[in-house]
Amino acid sequence: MLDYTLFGDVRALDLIIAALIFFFALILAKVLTLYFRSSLRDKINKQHMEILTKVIFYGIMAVAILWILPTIGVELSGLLVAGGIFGLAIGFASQSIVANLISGMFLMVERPIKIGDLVEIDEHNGYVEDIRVISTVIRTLDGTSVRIPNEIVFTSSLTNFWDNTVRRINYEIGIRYSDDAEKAIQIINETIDNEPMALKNPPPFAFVDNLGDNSVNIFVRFWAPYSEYFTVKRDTLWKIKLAIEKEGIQIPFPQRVLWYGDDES
Amino acid sequence: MVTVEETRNQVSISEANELSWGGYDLPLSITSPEVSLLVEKISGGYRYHRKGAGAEIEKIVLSNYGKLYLNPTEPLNTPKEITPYLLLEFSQPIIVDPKTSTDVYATVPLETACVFYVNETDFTIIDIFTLTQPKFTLYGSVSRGLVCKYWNTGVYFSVPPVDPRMIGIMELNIRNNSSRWVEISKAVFSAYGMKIYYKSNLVSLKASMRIINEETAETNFFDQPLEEGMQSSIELFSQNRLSFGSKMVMKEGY
Repeated sequence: MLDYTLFGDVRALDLIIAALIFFFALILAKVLTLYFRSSLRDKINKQHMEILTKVIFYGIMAVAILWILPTIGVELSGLLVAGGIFGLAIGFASQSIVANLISGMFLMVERPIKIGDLVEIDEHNGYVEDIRVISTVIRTLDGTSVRIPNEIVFTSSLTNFWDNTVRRINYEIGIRYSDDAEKAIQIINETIDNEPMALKNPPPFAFVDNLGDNSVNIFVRFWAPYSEYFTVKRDTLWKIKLAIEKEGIQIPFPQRVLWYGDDES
Repeated sequence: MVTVEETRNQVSISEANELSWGGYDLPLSITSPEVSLLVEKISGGYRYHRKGAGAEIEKIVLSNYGKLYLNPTEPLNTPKEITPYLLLEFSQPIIVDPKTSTDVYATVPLETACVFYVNETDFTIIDIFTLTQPKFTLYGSVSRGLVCKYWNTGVYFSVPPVDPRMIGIMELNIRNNSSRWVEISKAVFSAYGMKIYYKSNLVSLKASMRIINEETAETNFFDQPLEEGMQSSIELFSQNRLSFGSKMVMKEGY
């Protein structure tokens, strides 16, 4: 009975196999979309999730249908020739879109950046506003929005300033040669110690780094929580400046000592 | 737009010369060396004014009924709430032999929550300040560590004398469950589940620290007062958001 020919070369068995493949593909597509929905729920936003699950679902169903068609007597060879030429043209035209799409999917899964992070991508500094399927939107520090194709985000060097818990702040502070460098270091350490957001550990560090042309240069470094980095960096430098000046230590201007030959006589 | 016309209240003003935990009838005036609080009656509500403890602030509360409670609270809100973790560094490391349990006392910094209180379900925090010097630190590595509020404490075997307006007492049960001697120099606690009890001259917490192995310890809080007759403090951290439990696993050493 299964060998009963329905039309052309198609038997009842072929039709049952085709139906089984279709339903198996349908179940597989449903299971995979449910799996991706649950496993990526916290990693990508709802809009991207919808696109991703639709691509998976319709991708599996398209493969299944292409597999079924020959078994029910529809020959694809003719379609393939026409489709191949058409696909080649479309492929060249959509090369960059596909590259951006795939990069976008990797960005969503790998998550080197998150919405709200402070980043530098392709010489653009700013906060990540949105990570879309094709592009990423950065709000630069001067308030403009930049749309960067995901391929560039994925392939260019990317600095995420907020990836770690803390960031280091560095200053180089010059004092006069006549000033007491040890006293200056003590004042700097006290000022940092009084700053709540300047972390106790890793310990702050201040030392005479080099003897410059116009000043003795003290290198200062300490750490702050990444979210407070800019405020602490801005405020603490000014507090150090006021504190050392209050103790009579000055930050010198560039200077040059001139010797006249006449003075020797 | 609400226009508030200031009128002096005819009822008597509660006055005090120093901060003390508990409730105050309004209007109120507290003048201590570190901070002064003034709550004046105005038309339609009260004007709250604080000077000292690092700032001068003024707020208007549009409510005609209520009291002001000064409530000791988790020391993680000032100058800015950036972490729920408190790291206590012991000024003397504690060396504990294997399979031993012991109780010690440590100090913790306190913050004062000014609570405008109508009844048990109807209250709001209008101000938080501290009389201690806030400081933050990093527990763990730069890439994966936790930013914590920092406090250096001595280790005591009886309740040490402290100023209860700014410093609380923690009774810490240390249990070394490992099979080796361990040296403890710090303990990290999560503010979620931090149970603070107070009376006029004492603020207390009870906590435990269980040493699991050479690298790992677990800290936790007990919901118990140190002495009889102490009052439970309002918990800001479990009140405002989902509680994740009070246990804290220290994976980066102790």
